[in-house]
Amino acid sequence: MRTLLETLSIAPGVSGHEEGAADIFSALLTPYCEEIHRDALGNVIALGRGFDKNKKTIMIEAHTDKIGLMVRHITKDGFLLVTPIGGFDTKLLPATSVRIFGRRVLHGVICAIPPHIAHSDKAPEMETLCIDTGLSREKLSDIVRVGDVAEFETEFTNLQAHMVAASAMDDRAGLAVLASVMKTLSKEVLPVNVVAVASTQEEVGLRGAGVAAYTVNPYAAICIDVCHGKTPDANRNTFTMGGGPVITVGPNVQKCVSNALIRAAKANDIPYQIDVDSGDTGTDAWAVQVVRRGIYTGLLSLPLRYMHSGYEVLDVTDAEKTAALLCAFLRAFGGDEL
Amino acid sequence: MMLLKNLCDASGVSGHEEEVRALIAASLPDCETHVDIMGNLLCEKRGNGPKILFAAHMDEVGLLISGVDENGFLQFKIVGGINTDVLLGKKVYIGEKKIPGIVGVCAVHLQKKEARKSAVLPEDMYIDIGAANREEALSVVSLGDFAVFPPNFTQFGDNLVEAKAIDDRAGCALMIRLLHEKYDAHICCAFTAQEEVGTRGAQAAAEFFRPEYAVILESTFCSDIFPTEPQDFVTTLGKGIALPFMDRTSTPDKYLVSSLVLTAQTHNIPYQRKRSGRGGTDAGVISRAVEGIPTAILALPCRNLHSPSSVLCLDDYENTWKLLDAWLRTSAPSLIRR
Repeated sequence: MRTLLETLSIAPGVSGHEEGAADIFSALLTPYCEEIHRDALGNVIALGRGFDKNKKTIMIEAHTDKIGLMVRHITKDGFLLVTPIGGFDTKLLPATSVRIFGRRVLHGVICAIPPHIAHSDKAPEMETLCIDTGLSREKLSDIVRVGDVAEFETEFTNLQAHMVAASAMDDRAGLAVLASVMKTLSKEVLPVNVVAVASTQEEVGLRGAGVAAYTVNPYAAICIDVCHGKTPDANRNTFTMGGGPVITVGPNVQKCVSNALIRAAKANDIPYQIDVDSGDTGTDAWAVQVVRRGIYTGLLSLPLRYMHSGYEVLDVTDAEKTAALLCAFLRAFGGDEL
Repeated sequence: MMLLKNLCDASGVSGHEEEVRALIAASLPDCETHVDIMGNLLCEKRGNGPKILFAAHMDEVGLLISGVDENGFLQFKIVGGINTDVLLGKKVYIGEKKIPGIVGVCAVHLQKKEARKSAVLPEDMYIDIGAANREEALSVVSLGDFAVFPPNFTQFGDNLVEAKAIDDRAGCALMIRLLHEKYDAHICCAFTAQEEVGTRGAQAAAEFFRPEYAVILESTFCSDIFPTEPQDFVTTLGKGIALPFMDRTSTPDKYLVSSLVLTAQTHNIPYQRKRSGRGGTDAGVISRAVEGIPTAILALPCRNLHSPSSVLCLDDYENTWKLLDAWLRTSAPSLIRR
């Protein structure tokens, strides 16, 4: 699981530019799938082995894209001004290394004003931040154009015990779970067809997953995303790291699906946590649930600290437990329980 | 280049300069060396010319682990001046074992509206090493351990370098190069300790050598970035070494400064005047040491000073070397003896 997480974490893929990560995800799944294709929006749709049209189809889904920055202007001195793609905390940005995806990949540093010159009690504003590529406007204009994107340049880091820190664990951890599940189940005969979907453009408004769900037209869908892990400055609406998958209950999922997930967890001694969400979960589950005439939808989330930073911290055992729960759910699925 | 890289990548928060000192000692030619009570590394190459002290500081800004909470999160204090907005979401290495940790911050999704717009206070920050609890954390980290930004020396753009601790390992690297040359002057070099916490080491070094003149090799802030206006740049990257005329701690000696400027002009070596009275260096205590020592400062412009991603122009670095070398060969021997 750790290797899967690392491979997927370092793959590029800001929303709308998911090709790099989609290629890697497809390559990981190829040995375990009957067929893999890419749709018009860039979603990867991977059919599990032994497809049988008499069986119900279950879609398991996670999103490929990560948050990033988009170039909006190149100043006369060659600094790149940017606009956010997805939700950003500007406090995380000063003195951060980035990769810029122009005609070639460039290294850049987001500028910071040193304490000798200014100390502000306000968070920096996106409008005042710039990327330093060390190139003049003239040279830069040949490589980078307005509309090109940049993302955090951080390293996959092993912390103590089961914890890892890396960028885009939201939602590459979900993709790692899907890859692991497809590998495990490829050797088994299941009561259902399984289709794994790596969706695009989740971070900018759940734009890919609904389209993929329409194509796949599943009987039920389980979305895999991240939720917030407990930290000293966030106790409410946060979950225990290592406590196992978080099963969402609330209107965004059908109760029969969350109950089936809970039953599968109990039957297999897999620890789980419950997230009570009163409406929009902010995940692809929100888009998927209302596709066509409605899809039975469930949501599993992995606790994650520092979501949308360059170093998101994940407990690897939560990914393993989530994969185990998903496998158990699919093995036991008869369809009548929903 | 390897010398500069190795020096920048080494760890040496003020008061913990051992690793840097050992690295420097291993890079020195045959010369008289001495480590004093403050931890300064003092080197001497005797000559018949005037006795000149060069000084560059070994220490860098960083963090000191000051507490561990029940859930294994580390509390810290800041050593030297660091704007907190360059800390959030960054990786640090803790202690001699270089245990990786992430400076955490509550995910932007969970921040209240005011918090999103405000800077985070250092006392509200914490480091996450992935420990499950206090006991597990204390098995790998001790109170009083220092934390540094991880090695990240990267060449990019038009001959630029991104690294931590350029301030003042660049000065140290220049001094090592200088010791490898042969000059008429009586060369004393002080690799000083504890500059960042109030120029604590330099006084003892000056007292030890009792030189006729002193030249401080420093790194200084450079704010030639968007959206700063040219009048507030202080220094400009790539325009040569900066000469301060007055700063927070010292008034450089006019005679010594004009000797350096004349050398730069004679040899067509670029230099610039530092356009600010802010910042302080070891020049303060050295110029007031013993019976007073005429002192000048050569300061390398450095963007994002005191951050994990400071930026140096290698042209400036090489031109500073040319100036030092030319000055020691041509002008320094004829300085008025004191």
